Amino acid sequence: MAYFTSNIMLRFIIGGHIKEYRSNRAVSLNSLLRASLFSLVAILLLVSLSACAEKDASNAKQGGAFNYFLGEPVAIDPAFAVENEGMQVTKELFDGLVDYDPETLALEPAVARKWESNSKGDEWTFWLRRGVKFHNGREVKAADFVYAWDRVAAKKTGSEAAYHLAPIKGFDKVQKGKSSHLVGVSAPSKYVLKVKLNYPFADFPTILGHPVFSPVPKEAVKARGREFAERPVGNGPFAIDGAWEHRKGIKIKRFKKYYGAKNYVDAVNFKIIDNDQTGFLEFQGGGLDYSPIPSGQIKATVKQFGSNAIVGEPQLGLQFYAFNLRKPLFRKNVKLRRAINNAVDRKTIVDNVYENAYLVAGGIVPPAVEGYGKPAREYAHSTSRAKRLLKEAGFPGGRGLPTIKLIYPTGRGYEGPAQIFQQNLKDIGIKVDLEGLEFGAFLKALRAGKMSMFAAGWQADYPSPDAFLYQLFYSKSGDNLIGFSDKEVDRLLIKARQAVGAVQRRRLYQKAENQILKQAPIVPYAYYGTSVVYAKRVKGFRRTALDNTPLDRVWISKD
Amino acid sequence: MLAFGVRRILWVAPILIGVTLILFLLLHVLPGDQARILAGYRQPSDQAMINIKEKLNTEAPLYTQYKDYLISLGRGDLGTSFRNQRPVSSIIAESLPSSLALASFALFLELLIGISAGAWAAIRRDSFFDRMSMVSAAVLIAMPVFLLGLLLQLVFGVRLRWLPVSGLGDGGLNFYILPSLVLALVAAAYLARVTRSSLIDVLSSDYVQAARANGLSSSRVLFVHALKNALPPIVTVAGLHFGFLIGSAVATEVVFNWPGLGHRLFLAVLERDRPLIIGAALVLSTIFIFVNLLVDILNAWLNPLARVDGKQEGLEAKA
Repeated sequence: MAYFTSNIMLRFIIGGHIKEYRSNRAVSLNSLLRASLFSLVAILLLVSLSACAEKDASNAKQGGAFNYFLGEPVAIDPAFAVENEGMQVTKELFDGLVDYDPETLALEPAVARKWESNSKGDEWTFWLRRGVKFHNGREVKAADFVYAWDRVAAKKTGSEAAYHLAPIKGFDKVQKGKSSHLVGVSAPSKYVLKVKLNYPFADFPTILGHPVFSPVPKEAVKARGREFAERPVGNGPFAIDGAWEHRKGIKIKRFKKYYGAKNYVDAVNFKIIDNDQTGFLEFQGGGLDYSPIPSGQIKATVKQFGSNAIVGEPQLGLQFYAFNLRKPLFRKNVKLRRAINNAVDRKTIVDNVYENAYLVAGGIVPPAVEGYGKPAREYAHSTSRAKRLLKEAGFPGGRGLPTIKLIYPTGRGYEGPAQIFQQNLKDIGIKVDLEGLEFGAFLKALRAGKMSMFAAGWQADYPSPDAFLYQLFYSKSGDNLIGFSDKEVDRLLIKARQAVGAVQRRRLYQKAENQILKQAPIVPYAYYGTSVVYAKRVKGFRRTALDNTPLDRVWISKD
Repeated sequence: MLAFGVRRILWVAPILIGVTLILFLLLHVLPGDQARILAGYRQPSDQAMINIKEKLNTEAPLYTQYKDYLISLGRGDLGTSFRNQRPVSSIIAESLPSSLALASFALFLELLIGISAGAWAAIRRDSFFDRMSMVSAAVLIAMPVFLLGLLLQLVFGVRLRWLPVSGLGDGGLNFYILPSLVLALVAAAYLARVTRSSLIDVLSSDYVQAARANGLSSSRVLFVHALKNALPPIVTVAGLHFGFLIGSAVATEVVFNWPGLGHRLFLAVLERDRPLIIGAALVLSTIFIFVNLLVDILNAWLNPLARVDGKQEGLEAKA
């Protein structure tokens, strides 16, 4: 409205000026100058007025504090960013080289304004934006990234998140404590960062959106020592306000010298609550503006809160049952594995257990990976097909097949799907025993490689098919939990990592995924999905597929 | 009396060392460590595991670790938390006060509700009030704490919005009401039953009958003569409850997201945070032992017979 008014007045004045000029051709230079001066002053006045008016309009969004439900993080120092709660805070306090679009997760510039690789994809150059400030007022330079990455990789740091830096040259040496500097990272000038990798990796910039790659100011780390973990100094849209009050809360406030768009809320109060049920009650009691919805209450919450409940948007995670391919029974029988894949009624699992907050997964890479599309092969529920495959595998009606034991970790929501799975397999004549293990015991058994079938949930660290396909199925990957090994898949995955062109890369990953699915080494059944709710007074709320909420675009409605 | 007290105190050290030893062994047997649980399905590289273990100082053999732990414990150092390398002592220092405050508040409510309801029921024995209060006491004792908590949260926090749903907030009194009520109601129900039966015993005893026969007013009989003599079992129960209220208020602290020590201990077990588990257990055991001692001393003061028992015990021990 203000913009409209000032525009009309502006046109009127300019018009008036031209009119005067035309009708008085013989007018003196002096009067012309005076008229110009007058209109210049008028224009300036109006422009400043309209600027004020515009500021008023955005002021409607400005201000207020957002009360956010948070579980106690493990760490908010980016060097130790390993879990969602910590990353939610770290991402507000720090900006890395790149960021993800909250809508599509497409890569966006952040501290780096552009980047480029050599033709092989194993050497990368990043050009940094000027004028990016740390919360202590100092400018962020390329050397700060060098320092921060050396710090993450260092042996004495003992970071659980260090593995993200493994593609960088010299990582192993620094991890072993034989060097204090990553030989692959250098700052040839103030605003240029160069990175050399151990192998070609076209998706390298994509992994840099993880907070572990954030810059940290050396002087603050040195001065604060252990305090830095409680009160980190970052360069993001918010700065920490006082120290982290463990198991109680973390307060952050707007950083006024932030280089990016000004965030709307003045502050965010992270209220630390350890169980979803209590947090949800607190939300209903008005003490929180955001909360995850506890399981079992999703449908009711959607009914009550309408579009303020965000349910069923795909995230970067997959739940599946894995066959241990080190066991001969599964290694030798592709048809048995396929039969089991066809026997599973994924829709019932997603509907009955997850109240449609999760999505049916017939393939591996979730739809949340931007522009990826569906795999050509997907497993659908078909009992008759499953029975036929089982017969072809040499176990007609399940005869000759030993009882299969499915092991899952308790207390993590795997019980419900496992029971449906058990029933589905009974329908084609396979007997399944279920066994729940406490998570620590489960992980021990997983590492020992003795379980023949187990339930697993995989959350990707970054939005790329690589985070699923390479990590889980590349024969030499440390996270290949099932002993899967296929030469063709290996070849495709390496080729994809080297493919600099995005379209070609995507095609290669899709080919690899189809090749994997053909062998059916796992039974994918659900993609993770959102189930969160936010208060009516909150606007501009987004939940990304990385399961976090960017708080710089959120605003609080005053009415 | 003094010897009795001193002997009890001397027992504290061996008990606490026993606690550390049992926990050390139990936690060693418990599968999984913090780094692995955190990594979940991801397989941390061997080098990463070595680095983390070196940082946490868990590379050495168990007996060396235990010896080192005892030595630093002797210096008053409880170690640092595995989870984020903060000193265990500061974690306890920040969470124990809120547990103590909650327990005190709850104990006050428990005594108030428990004794008055129990006394009232004893006096009006077999009346409607007596039956009703004893039935509701039975229901409260049987009701899981989390359910009671949830009900109160729903009614007073969500529906009526009179009281905060959870947390300690700014430390205002209103934050204490619901969690302490949950703790107090269950304990008070138990205390009411104890008070009632103890008082009924006393009220039917000869000296009370005699006092009544001598024409003393019934309120004087109740408050001056009967209640004092009915107190020992009540003090014992309430004292034990106080210990429980501090250490075992876990369910309530979790339901109300109370930043107390019981809550911390519960989470530390899930996270395999050994230094914090042992540190918290040591502090809670110490408190429990001293509260017990206090109860015994109080009872000895209230009931001379207990003092004699103590002495006799002492004599037997010497013999």
